[in-house]
Amino acid sequence: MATFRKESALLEPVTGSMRRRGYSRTQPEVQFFEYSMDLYGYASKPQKTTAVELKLTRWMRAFEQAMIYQLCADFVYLALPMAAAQRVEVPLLKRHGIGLIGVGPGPRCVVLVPAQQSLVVMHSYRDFYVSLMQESRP
Amino acid sequence: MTVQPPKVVLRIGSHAEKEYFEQLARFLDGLMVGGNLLEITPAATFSLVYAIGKKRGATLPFYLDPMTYCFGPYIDPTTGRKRIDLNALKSKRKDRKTKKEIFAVKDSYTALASKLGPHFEGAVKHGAAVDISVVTPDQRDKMCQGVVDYQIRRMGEIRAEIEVDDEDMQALSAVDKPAVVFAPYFFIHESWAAAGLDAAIDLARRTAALKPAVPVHAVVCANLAVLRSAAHVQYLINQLPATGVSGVWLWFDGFNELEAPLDELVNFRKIVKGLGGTMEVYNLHGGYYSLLLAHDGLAGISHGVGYGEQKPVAQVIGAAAPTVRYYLPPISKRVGVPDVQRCLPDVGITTAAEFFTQVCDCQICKGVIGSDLARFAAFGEMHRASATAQRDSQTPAAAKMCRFHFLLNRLQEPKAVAKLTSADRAKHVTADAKPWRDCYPLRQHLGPTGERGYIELWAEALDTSI
Repeated sequence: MATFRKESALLEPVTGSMRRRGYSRTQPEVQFFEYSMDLYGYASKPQKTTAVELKLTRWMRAFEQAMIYQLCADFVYLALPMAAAQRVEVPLLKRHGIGLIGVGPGPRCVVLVPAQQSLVVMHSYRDFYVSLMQESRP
Repeated sequence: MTVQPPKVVLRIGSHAEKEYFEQLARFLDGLMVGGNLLEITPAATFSLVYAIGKKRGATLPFYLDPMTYCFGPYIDPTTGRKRIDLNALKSKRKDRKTKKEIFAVKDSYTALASKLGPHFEGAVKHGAAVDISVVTPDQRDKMCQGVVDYQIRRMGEIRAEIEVDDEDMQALSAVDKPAVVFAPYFFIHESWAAAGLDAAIDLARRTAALKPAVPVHAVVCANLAVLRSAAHVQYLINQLPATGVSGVWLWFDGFNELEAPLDELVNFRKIVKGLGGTMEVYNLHGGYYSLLLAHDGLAGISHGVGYGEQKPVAQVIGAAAPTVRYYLPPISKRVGVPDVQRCLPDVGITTAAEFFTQVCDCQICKGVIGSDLARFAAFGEMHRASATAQRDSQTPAAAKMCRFHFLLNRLQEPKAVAKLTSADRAKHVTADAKPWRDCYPLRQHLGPTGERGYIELWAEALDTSI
């Protein structure tokens, strides 16, 4: 089974998965204040935005950041290699509406926990990123 | 038992900070200027100090830091090795006469050294740090006299050199003299701690023996190992009172109240308590934990406009300017704007009115937020600072609001601290932080739930019997 040695190796499979799920525009490394969201996606029909935080192992820090990204995206996911994703505390994620994607083996991605619509999304932030994504190349 | 509010002495870092001092003059307990700033811009710095003093009716205590440590040995932050070459004071620039690029001591420090006396001037001339351990007793006396004279006379000299039309400013000549004078001080590293501490005590004693017109204060500028050592701490407690100085300013390089382990927090409290009964004790670069030590005898803290809790003796050259974060009063720490925003609903704050009640109701917060809590985002407003910048950075206006908000809070904190009792302090810090303690986005600041972060460590240090 292929292993992921760098977080960046998760980017391609997760981006592909998002594209297949209707996110026509995706962008890596999107700045949100001092943070850098690993992946931000935009789907036009229905219009929705999703932020993804990639992590190889230490998921708690990613979870803390994911909660912050709920301010600027409708849905927020953590994406980890499948083996690491199995160790994530799923009830905690569910309680806070954060989704979980398991990556691998290979480019396969499985949504283990679907994200819930963020209840704290701020329209000023979200609208900014929607504009940004609409201006970007498909 | 309640105490006198500890003082907050604000240090001027550059003339770009002028507005903060002018706006906040009436709240300040003191104003400190570094000798390097005064010497590179004497007239402008003089005018600023007097303008601030004028707003306060000349009652604002003024301190002139001779910064003698800059001309002594230091530890290179990148290699960890002792340096005696004064390279930390140097910069690359073009020589005015030859137009060739040179690497030389900055003009501000060259000018300061020439004013402080021959030891410092010689250090710059030869590019070699002052080694206080080889300076003879007679020469030490001369060094102390030179450093005292500099602090007492310099502002008056500048006033005499420039034309002052303002009658009020002429009248303010009474504040030419600083509130205190500092004895010469040099950085003490653990590898020369014994000799360094002896020298610090000796310089303090010699300066006090000069009996200048204003009180003499010592500065203990040492690295963390000195603070961690029970023997060194006890030595200072035993020796400093006998020097005759009436105050001491502590500066432990690397001591960060927000990251310090329990033993450092407790030892800092021990040294404050040990000396507090005999002299005024200040933290030269302190924050909220230090303010809480007013009940142990701390007279005050000092810090700059943009930082509060620490300052390294040797700065890392070329370090990028960090984002000015929002000071979250309930946890006494600066945190990112989105971190705060994400936590607000979790702590039950959904309206501007709730924010003003539970977080901050300073003029800045009220002005920025108004009736719409979403406008809190303005504290973190970003822009692309230049066409070549790779990332967005905080706008100057947002940074300024964060600084003003921090300073307004900081200048009110001493009164709140003074109203507490010594026994209440630990409960106070934990109770204020409690609603925020379990917010996940703040765990990077407060530590994981169940583990001791700085709030729990402060509480334990404050409750420790010493």
